[in-house]
Amino acid sequence: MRAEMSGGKGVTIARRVVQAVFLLLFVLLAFKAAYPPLSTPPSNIFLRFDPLAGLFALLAAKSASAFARYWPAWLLLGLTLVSSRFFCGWICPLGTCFDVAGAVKPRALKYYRPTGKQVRELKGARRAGKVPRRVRVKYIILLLVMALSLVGVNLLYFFSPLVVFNQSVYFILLPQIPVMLVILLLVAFLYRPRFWCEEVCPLGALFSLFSLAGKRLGSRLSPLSVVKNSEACIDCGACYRECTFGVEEPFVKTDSGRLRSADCTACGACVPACPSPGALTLESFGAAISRSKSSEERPRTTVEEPAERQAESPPADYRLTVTRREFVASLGVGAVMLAGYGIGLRDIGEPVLRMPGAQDESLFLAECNRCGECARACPPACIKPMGIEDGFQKLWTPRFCPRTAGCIFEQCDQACAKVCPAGAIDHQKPADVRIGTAQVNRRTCLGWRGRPCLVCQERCRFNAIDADGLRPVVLEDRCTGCGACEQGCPTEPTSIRIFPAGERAAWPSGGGAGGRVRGGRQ
Amino acid sequence: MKDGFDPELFSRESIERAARAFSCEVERRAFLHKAGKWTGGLLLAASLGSIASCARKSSSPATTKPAPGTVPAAPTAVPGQADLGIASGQNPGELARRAVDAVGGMARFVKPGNMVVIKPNASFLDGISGATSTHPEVVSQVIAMCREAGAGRVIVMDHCLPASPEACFRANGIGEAVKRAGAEVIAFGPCEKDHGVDTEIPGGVAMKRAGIYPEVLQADVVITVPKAKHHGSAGLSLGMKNFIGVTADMGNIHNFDLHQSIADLNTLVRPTLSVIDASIILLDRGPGGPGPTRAAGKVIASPDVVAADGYACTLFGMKASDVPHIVYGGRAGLGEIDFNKLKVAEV
Repeated sequence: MRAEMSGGKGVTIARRVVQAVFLLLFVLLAFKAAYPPLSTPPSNIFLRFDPLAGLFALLAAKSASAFARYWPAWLLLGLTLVSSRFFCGWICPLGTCFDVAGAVKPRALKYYRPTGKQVRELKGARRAGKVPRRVRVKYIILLLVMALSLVGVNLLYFFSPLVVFNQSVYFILLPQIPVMLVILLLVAFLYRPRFWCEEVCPLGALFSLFSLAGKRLGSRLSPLSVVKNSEACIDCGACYRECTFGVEEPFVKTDSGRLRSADCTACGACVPACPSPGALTLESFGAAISRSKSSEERPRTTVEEPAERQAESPPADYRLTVTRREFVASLGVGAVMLAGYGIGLRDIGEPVLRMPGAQDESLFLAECNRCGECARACPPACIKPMGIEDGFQKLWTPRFCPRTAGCIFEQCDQACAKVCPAGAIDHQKPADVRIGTAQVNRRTCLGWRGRPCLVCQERCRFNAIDADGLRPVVLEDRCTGCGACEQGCPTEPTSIRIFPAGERAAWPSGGGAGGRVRGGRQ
Repeated sequence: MKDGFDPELFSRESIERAARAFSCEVERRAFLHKAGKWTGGLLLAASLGSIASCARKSSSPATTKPAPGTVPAAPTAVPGQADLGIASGQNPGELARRAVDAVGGMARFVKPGNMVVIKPNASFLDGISGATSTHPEVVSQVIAMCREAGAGRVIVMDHCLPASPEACFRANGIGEAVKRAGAEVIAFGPCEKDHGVDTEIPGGVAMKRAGIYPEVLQADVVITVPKAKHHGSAGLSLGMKNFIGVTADMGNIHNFDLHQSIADLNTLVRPTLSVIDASIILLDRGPGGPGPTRAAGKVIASPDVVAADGYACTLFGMKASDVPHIVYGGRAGLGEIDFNKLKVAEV
């Protein structure tokens, strides 16, 4: 932040502009999921930029269509190979929010900048060339999250920044408190703006892995990279202090060339911070975008050169430094969690009313990211997120609430299926739709108590309610479960309710003229 | 309708409208309303403050509750004039004109400059043959006659059930007919309860209050233009029952004694003229159908809504006394239950 106020702020301003544009685009597209959902560009395109969600969909669906659906994510991974985590520094909307939180933070709270002493110590420890232990946590989280996806547990709504952000936009519009966003912003505000990105984010970990995989590729191939000229470096540590990710590499790197740290976001914040002309350059395909310049007002906190600092010291190695012990330990923890889910938590509980075309419950729970797109797209807003009271497994999954509004699938052409980025909802022919079946509570129904009503029959678009005198009888082979009857029922609570396929009401509903419930979804 | 998605019928605007019509999502609406009211209130307070500093002027707050006295009374009988016109024939639009002419023409009911509300049955998506909605020709003829009588604003109102009002009015052809005849449509979905004005029903026996669309209460002339059809709970759906469609919360009326409530509603919203479309009548599985129909080939017009309903009952092989709400209407003094006591003109 300090660099912005001094000279050479071009890169920082450019990055802020790009971040702001992408943030606005992201919010705009989250808005545009509302009916009619935007088709070009698709309103869910940003969510499909999420390689973590892509891997999830691949693991859950194991189909080529899931691979095809997430083409932007694979493109992004390819770019990450040559440009490290540029997504985190330039595009990620959650990262932008963190930066804003860091910018508004009062000075008194800013303690995440390393002190001069820490910088000096780092210089001394440089030879070890180790990535700090704290930044390895995210790889373990990545491993766990991926392992859980194998058993059908989708935790993206906690861990994928894109899903969290999209869901937050939806929650704010509901209006409901976006729990995850609030927690993360608090952490960013009180602790460190990019704490999440550097140490927790499994999507960041995936990007880090890819940026490591491509670390041998030179800056000429890279659309965006920071290049160090160690000849010009004066070992002051200003770059390290400026880096919100705590990347030491521009400081401790002893040879010249592209920064290879897994966590470098190519944000270029270190470039204007550098007081030595030409020591750091932000490059695009080998052409300099911004070069560090000498500046009078910039503090020159040169670190004393340690005695052992020599040109011949081996270049620091930025391999993924998860030790064998950590790896085995994480596997152990993962196995315990898998067993836990396998035993208890994978119980999918009672059937829930979902939108037409939703996958079978277990597959749905695995595929649904809880991003909130379907609920945004639903014209009558009959889809709502479930709460924690319905079980952790179903937290924030979309539930169809017919009492709020009936489903008008044959009129909206299933907007929810169109916007779902994860493929958890199939588009069905209107004739095939069976969301559930209506059942009449004969104890409370006005008609069954001998009073004229039959609002349910009036509301039914599928002629699935027959009148036996004044008494409504559901023709179960015709009922689509659209819920128009439940919404219209004048009694409170409703006397006609939609039950998921195969569920039977505890109330005396009887078979009436209808047959059996038509079997599950096709 | 069930066979596939009909993008023509369910246009973007229509579904956007359906979103409003069908979303009973109270929290979001309440929040937006509250937010809007707060903002509006603050702005209002600020502007009032600034105005007050310039001039002291007492402002009367706008009331949303129309006085019950504004409801028009049914026209009194004109000596020698027929009060029940029954037109028989083929062309429904022409029948409507003949039937109204038989009871003295539209000029008897609509005076120049009058605001007219026409209430057809337009709730459903079926076309003419389904006999669930008023024949579009009847609606357009009634509007045309109002226009000829020099009416001012002519509004066609209804409450649509299976889809957005736009989609319903399009599917049953009434929207097009109204547009052609030069009137406006104000229609709502089941969740748009905000438009109703909570109004006391002074003559109410079962239902004492209801949320009524304000246009109906403000109108100089209310014309009920129902389709004669079977109704599962009300027996028959005719001119009196038609007015459930001007209440904002249609479901709620069923919590009271339905038949008595229909009569109560009619004590408040008294139609000046009743034009019943019985060109094709729905004999069973009403009001939404599909059910058996019969080409009765009649249009009935009368300033007496009870008598008109009573005659329409005979088309179904019933008597007025078989339909309780008509009986209650007669008892409440809304009209003559025995239509034979009126001067009948069959044309």
